[in-house]
Order: sequence, then structure tokens, then C-alpha cells
Amino acid sequence: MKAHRVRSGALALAAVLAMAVTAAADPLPGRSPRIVDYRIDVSLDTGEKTLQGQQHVTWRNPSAEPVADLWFHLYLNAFSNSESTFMRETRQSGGVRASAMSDQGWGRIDVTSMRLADGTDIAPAMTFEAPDDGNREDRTLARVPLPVAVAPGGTIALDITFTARLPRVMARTGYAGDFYFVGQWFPKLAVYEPAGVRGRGAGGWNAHQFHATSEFYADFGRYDVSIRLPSRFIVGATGRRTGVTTHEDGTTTHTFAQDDVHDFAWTADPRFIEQVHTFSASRDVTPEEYAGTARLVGRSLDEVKLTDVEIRLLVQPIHLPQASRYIESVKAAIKWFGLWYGRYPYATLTVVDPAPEGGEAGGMEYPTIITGGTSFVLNRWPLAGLRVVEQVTVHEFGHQFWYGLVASNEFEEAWLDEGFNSFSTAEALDRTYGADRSVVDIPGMRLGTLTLARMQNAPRLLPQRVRQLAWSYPEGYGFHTYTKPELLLRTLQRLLGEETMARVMRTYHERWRFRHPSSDDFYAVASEVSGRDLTWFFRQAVEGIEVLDYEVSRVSVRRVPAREGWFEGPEGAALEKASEDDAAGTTTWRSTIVVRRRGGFVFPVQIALKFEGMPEERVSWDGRDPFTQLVFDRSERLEWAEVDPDRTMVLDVDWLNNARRVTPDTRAAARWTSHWWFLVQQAIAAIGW
Amino acid sequence: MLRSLTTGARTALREPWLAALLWAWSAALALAAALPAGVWLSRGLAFRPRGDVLLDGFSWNVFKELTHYDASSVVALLGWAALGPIALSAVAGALVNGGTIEAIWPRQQGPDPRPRLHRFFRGAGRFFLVNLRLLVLSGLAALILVLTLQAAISVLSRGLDDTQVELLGWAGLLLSPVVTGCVAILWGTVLDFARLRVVATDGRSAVAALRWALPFVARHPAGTVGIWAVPSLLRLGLALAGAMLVPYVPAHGWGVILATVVTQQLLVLIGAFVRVGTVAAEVRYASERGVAGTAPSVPAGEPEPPPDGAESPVS
Repeated sequence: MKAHRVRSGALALAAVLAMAVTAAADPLPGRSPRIVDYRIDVSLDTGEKTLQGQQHVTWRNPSAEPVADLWFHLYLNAFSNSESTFMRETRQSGGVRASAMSDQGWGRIDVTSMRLADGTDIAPAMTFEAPDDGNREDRTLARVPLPVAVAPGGTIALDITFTARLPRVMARTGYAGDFYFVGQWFPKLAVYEPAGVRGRGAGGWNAHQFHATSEFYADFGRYDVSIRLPSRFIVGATGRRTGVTTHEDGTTTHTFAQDDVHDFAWTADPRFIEQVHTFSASRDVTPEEYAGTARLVGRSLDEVKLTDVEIRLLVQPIHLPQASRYIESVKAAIKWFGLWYGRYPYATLTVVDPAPEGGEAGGMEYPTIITGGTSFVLNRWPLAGLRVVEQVTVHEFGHQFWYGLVASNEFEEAWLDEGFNSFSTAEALDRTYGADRSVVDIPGMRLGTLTLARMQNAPRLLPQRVRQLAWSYPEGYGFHTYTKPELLLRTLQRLLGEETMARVMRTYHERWRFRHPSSDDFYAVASEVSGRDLTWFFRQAVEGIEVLDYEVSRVSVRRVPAREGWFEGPEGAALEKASEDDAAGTTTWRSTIVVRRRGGFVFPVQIALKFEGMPEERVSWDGRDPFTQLVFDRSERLEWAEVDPDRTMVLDVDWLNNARRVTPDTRAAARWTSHWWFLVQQAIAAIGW
Repeated sequence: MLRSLTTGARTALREPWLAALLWAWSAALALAAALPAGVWLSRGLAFRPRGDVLLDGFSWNVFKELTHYDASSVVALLGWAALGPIALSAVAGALVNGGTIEAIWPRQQGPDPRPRLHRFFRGAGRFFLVNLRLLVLSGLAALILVLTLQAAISVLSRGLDDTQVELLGWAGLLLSPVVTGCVAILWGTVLDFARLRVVATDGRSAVAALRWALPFVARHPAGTVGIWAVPSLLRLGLALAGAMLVPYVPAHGWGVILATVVTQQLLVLIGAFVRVGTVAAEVRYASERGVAGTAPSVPAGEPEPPPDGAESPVS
């Protein structure tokens, strides 16, 4: 163990020096801290749906204190029985995936041995832990005490053997017929967070059970994985293929390796049609796009320069007509995410089109490998205008940036991945396909990302924070981790301006690439780059539960009565009478506007006013009081008033009540009332005639 | 079938008052559902400039925002309010159909001297109860048939869940609505011919009418289902055309808005003509095949059918 410590200390120092040198040359870090190193040999028994694995894993203690135990994720055990935390939560309140295991396709993982370098098997000391809910039936998290603690900066190496039975595909992993998508399949170390990381007071393991509504959190390192399975299978995986060896028994070993990632997944299906394309940093990005982005994010042309990426598409034969849609959308994503936040640093990306019966594996991300999802009915016009392929592909690729490179803790702050990615995906889709049709573009119907996101916002949702443990939402996990963050980031973008927001996002990504940030780290970057204290915004939008809604609740115009009666003047009291000419241009009109804050979210707003024959005017209001009343005595009558006329507050639940006019206009009501009349008539005709 | 449809179309054009009556009936009934919706929409939109986007077409966001603070679920209330007239129309269908058939039904003794409305309302009232029983009985039978078939389909499609052939998976999904649609077509056809039988025989037994209509439709599936389904598809097309007008055609001026209303109502009226034509075609088809159990007869104004064995002068 001592020899380990000396060698690892030197390695750690070299790594830190290398990172410092790289950081000076480019704001984007060139490599990760490489805490872990996995070398795994696994074979797949396609008859039994089982894996036999041997795993050599090395872990470096990144903290300043000795660590006396190791924590492992054994996430396949989430599918071992109906009483795992994942299955219980899915049953209770619904997860993001299927709610029941079909065909008794239960899976599991067993660690059969875990040996130290001296041959000591520490597996018998392994215990299952349930820190999140105390569920003794849950075996997705294991703790192994070590005979000797790992010193600060020191390493420990383990040889682990394990067997696993894959589940019938569920929640991103498993088999369906001959289709395999294998994720969360090996004993994976949790993250040891040193003091200071993500606001921790003291160092410790950040390890959670597998939940129905959360994804993952792991540390960076190198993966070198050999997969042996029948030769008829076409295989895709995280990283670059480094070797293919065919054996006499009709099996083939595929080897993949990748540095600076924090997970490894693979897929196999004999039906896959493989296409290899290249994202060309010179051909797929125009000089204008480079120059425009460099200006936008405030970086040099060299700093925004992208690199080529080999794209492997593994597509099902029935979806082959959609291959070009996969490729075009992923190229657009590589381009825009890379330009805006920093180049995609890996040489490969594998895009997997799941088998029709394996849809549960669709729409998922792992480092350098993503799954899409589609149906043959979307092959051709007009349904090809439903941009399912594009949305899913761009979104899953986006996770490479907010889960993969900026390794957010998806258990504790899911919005840092899903929310940031929803915002970025919307930006990329809008830029590529047009903001008004980036989701749907079929004859007679167009839908953009903003409309789709705003439709989900409402004042009567159960009030919950965006920043909370992913499994603690009784309902609305999707809205609070995907949609509301998208809306609040769009609001921030409009508040700060497009350029400042682009620089905020760029800086955040550069600073936290290959690291684990917290929400506070993003707040700090946003305030620093924008030069404004944005605490008030994040406190309400992310940490708070208040609804944002401002409305013009009343507008009225009344004639101001002319003065009449006895008034004191220089020559004593005089009787004044209202003039008969009031109507001839000397009339004064009193316009009254009441603007109300309907929710608890306070936001400084502009109020636009339009008087007859006059250009639009604006007044500011800090928005703090429950309402404000504006009164104007003028010769022109007010026509309408509007709060937040620039639509800065995308998070505002109701834009309809933002404006009010003095004179009613019943055209829209008449039009839709007559339409309703017609529709009811048709129902009556169908049933009654 | 074509001959019957042609006859039906001619009869509908000859009796425009019947189509007008159907239109007026549906318009009045639907108005009861539309007026509260109008009041609600007017209150929500008239003072809100953003509501004007609805002049360009439908907006999910505006529609949703209309209901944001609506604790009483006005939309659901309006939906239920519309169900009232629709349910009433189902019951009243027993009146309307009896009246329509009576007004069209051929008289052996020459032109019917009674006023048109007299004929209509006599049939409506005289056959109301038996038509109502027919509706309930046939509806129940259709419901039981649908539920039985759905149960069988769910057993079948359970096996399709895991199919590796995506096409089969979709077929499994579509099977249920397709089967329900087929039962609906069959139900509509049998019900119509049973109603004809009631008027033709001046009967009072719904069971007897159904016992006649079912085998009749079974013996002449192409003719009977065709006469019912072809005009029904036409009516569906008209309804869809009308339903597309408002969401997809921008209208900012009152003139265009009124033109849209008139167009939609014209489409309802044309639909009413099609329905009258359908009934007349069914009358013709059934008459030629002895619906009354007596010598074949033809709708009023049509030439008498030739004796058995001779060729029909109508082509």
C-alpha cells in the first residue's frame, strides 16, 4: 500500500502541473483529473442474458484526508425485485420510464470477489447501504471498508469479479430480443467529494441509491473495456474502438477505450446498420459562424475553433430513411454546443437507434454514446415534420456537455444537467430549424420550443423548488428539472442580453469542464460575468417556490370635470363655470392604470402606455408592491397599457394578462364562439340525425 | 346502390325544407352550448390584446392562459354544457328520424295531401317511442359488441407489445379504433334500416324491427353499408373542412369573420341535405327489396317499380 501511495502522489502532482499548463494556454481544460481507471473484460451470454465480468479498477483519493472505505453503485439491482427503491418509487408516483417489469425480466448484479493487490478478498465485508430512504431491500449501493485507509493523493487498486443478469429493457438498460443496451452494468465507484467541492464542509462520499427520477453522478477517469459476444452482433460503445478479435468459438471481442469520461455503456444488435460520418470542423461550420460566435462569447477565433468528430450511427433497418435526420441533427448539435460552450473534446460519438421493442433504452446519454428513438411512421412526409428524431438527438447530445463534461450531480441538483440541457437544446433547435417550427412543422401546424415550454408553466402547479433532491418531488419532477429551468434561463438571457448570457454560459462551462459544480457555482459565474448581483433572481427562480405573474388588471379613461364654483383669486373670490367648449379640444382625460403582481416572485418591470395619436411611452416599476397605480391627466385618451412589453419574463405564467385595452374588441371571441357553435352542431348532427 | 343514392340526392333537393329543418334544429340546440362559451371568451379576450392572435389561428398558449386562474374549470364546465344538447339530440334523434322518414316515405295512393310539417311531426310523434327503444337497444348491443371485441384485441395485442416487427406493433395499436369504427358503421346502418322498417310497417316493436334489419343488412352488406357509409364519409369531410376554417384561415376583419360563420353554416346545411338524401336512398333501396313485407314501393314522386321480372325503368 505504501508503494502505491508514493507512486500515486507523484502522478497526482504531474497531473496538476499538466492541467495548470493547459489552463494557461486555453480556458478549456485539456483533460480531467482522472480519479478512476477501469479495465474491464466482460462476456455476454445471449441465451441467459448474463454478463461475466472481471474488472481492475484503480481509485485515487482526491482529498486531503485518508479514506477508509469505498462506495460502489450496483445499479442493475434496481431491477432485481419489486421492492428496490427504484421500483417502489416508480410504482408510487411514476418515474421517467416504464412502471412495471415485463415478462419477469428481472435483472441483478452480484460481486463475487473484490481483491486488493495483496490478494485479500474484501467482498465479504461489503454491506448494502440505503442512505436516502433506509430501504433494506435496496441493493443498489454498497460500501466496502478497507483494511488500510487510502492516504490523501494515494491510490488503491482492486480486482473485482462480477456476474450480472440483464433486465428486460427498462429505464435505459437491458435487452429486448436481440437488442442490448447495457448501461449501469458494472460495479462503479461513487464520487468522493473533497472539502470545498459543491459547498461541502468536510470531504466525504457522495453516493445515492438508484431512484425512479434521477440519473447519475460519477468521477472522471479512463475506461478500457473488452466485450466478448457472438460474432453476428454489431457493437457500439463509449469511446474509440481499439481492437476486434475473432475467436474460433464463434465469438468476437470488441475493445473500446476512452479517457476523461465518467461512465461506460455499450450496445449490441445484429440488425444494426452501421454508418460512419465525420463532423468536419472546417466544412460543417462556416467562417461567418466562427466569427459570429467568437464575437458573441468574447473569445478569440482559435478558442472557438472546433475539432473533427467521427460519428458512428447504428440504425435499425426500418428507420434507415431517418438516418440523414440523425446525422444532420447531431452535426448541428456538435456545431452549436461546441461553438457556444467549448469544443467537444472526444474523437468519436456513437448514435444508437434502439430497436422498436427496446424503446425503453431510447433517449439516453452516456459519455460519447447516445440513444435516439423514432418510429417508421415518421419516415416520410407529413409526419417527418414531427421533429422527434432531431429533438431527442440534440437533447441527448447536449448531455455530453452538462452531464458529461460539466459533471453535474444529477441526484442532488438535476436541473444543472436537465435544465441547462433543455435550454441549450432549445437554442440549438431554434437556430437550426427556426424558432417557430423547431418542434413541429407539419401542414397546418407549427410549434417552437418556447411555445412548448411555456405551455407547461401554470400558477396552480404544486410549488416546489428547482434545486432539490431529484427523488423528493411528489409530482412535477419533469417540469421542475427540465422546463422551469429552461424558462428561467431564457428569462435570465433576456434580462442580461444575448451576448452577456452567452458569455455567462461559456465561462461556466470552461470553468467547470471536467469538474463537479453546484448551483452556487453557476450563480457566482453569472454574477461575475454580468457584473450584476443576481442573487435576487436565483433566490426566487431556483431556490424559491413563488409564481411570477404581473398583470394589467385595470385601465380606465374618464373625462376630468372642468373646475367650477367659487375660487379665490387676486381680486377675491370669483365664480367659475364649466365651459361649454370642453368637447372642442380642451377636454382633459384621466387615464388610470393598475398593474398588479399576482405571484410572489418580484421582478423589476417596464410598463408600456399608448395614448391616442402618441408614440408608445414606458415607465419603470420595481415590482415590489402588490400593485401600482398610474394616473395621467392628458388631452389624449389612453388606448392600452402593457406590463413587460419586451417579454423579458419568459417565466411569467400568463402573458395574456400582461396587457389590457380600454375599448373592447370582441372579434376573437366571436370567431371562436362561432367555431364552438359549429363543432357542437357537428356533434349533434352525428348523433342526432 | 348508386341508383338509390341518385334517387336520394334528387329527393333531398326536392324537399329542401327537410334539410333546413335539420339545420335549424342543430343550430338552435348548439346555440345553448355556444352562448355560455361566448360570454366566457368575451370576458377573457375582449380587453386583452394578446387574445388577438386567435384571429390568426389557434394558440395553445393563449388558450391555456385563459384558464390559468380558473379554479372552477370553466373549460370542463363548457364541455359538460355541450354534452347536454348533444345528449338531447340523441334522444331527439328518435323524433327527427321518424319525422324525416315519414316525410319521405312513398304513398301508394299518390301525392300526400297533408302539409309537409304535418307529415314530419306526425311521423316524429308517432314513431318516437319505438325509435327511442331502437336507439337504446341497438346502442347497448353495439356497446357490448365493442367491449367484447376490445377484450379480444387486448389479449391479442399483449402479444404484439414485444414484437420485433414495428409494423405489427402499430397494427396492434390501430386495431382497436378500426374495430370500433367498423362496429359504429354497422350500428348506424342497422339502426337506419330498422327505423325504415318501423315506418314501413307502422310497427311498434323495436325488437321486431331489429330482427328484420340485421339479416337484411347481412343479406345486402355492400348496398346497405355503402348507402350509409358513403354519404357519412361525405358528411365527415364537410365537417372536417368546416373545422379547419377557423384554426387555419386568418380573419381580422368582421367581414371575413362573418363569411367564415356563413360558410360553416352552409357546410352544416349541405350535411343536412346529405343526410336527407341518405334516408331517401335507404328508403328507395329497402322499398325495392320489400321492406314492408308487401309489394315494393318507391319514394313519393318516383316512377312505380316494374312488376317482378321486368326491368326497372329507373337507371
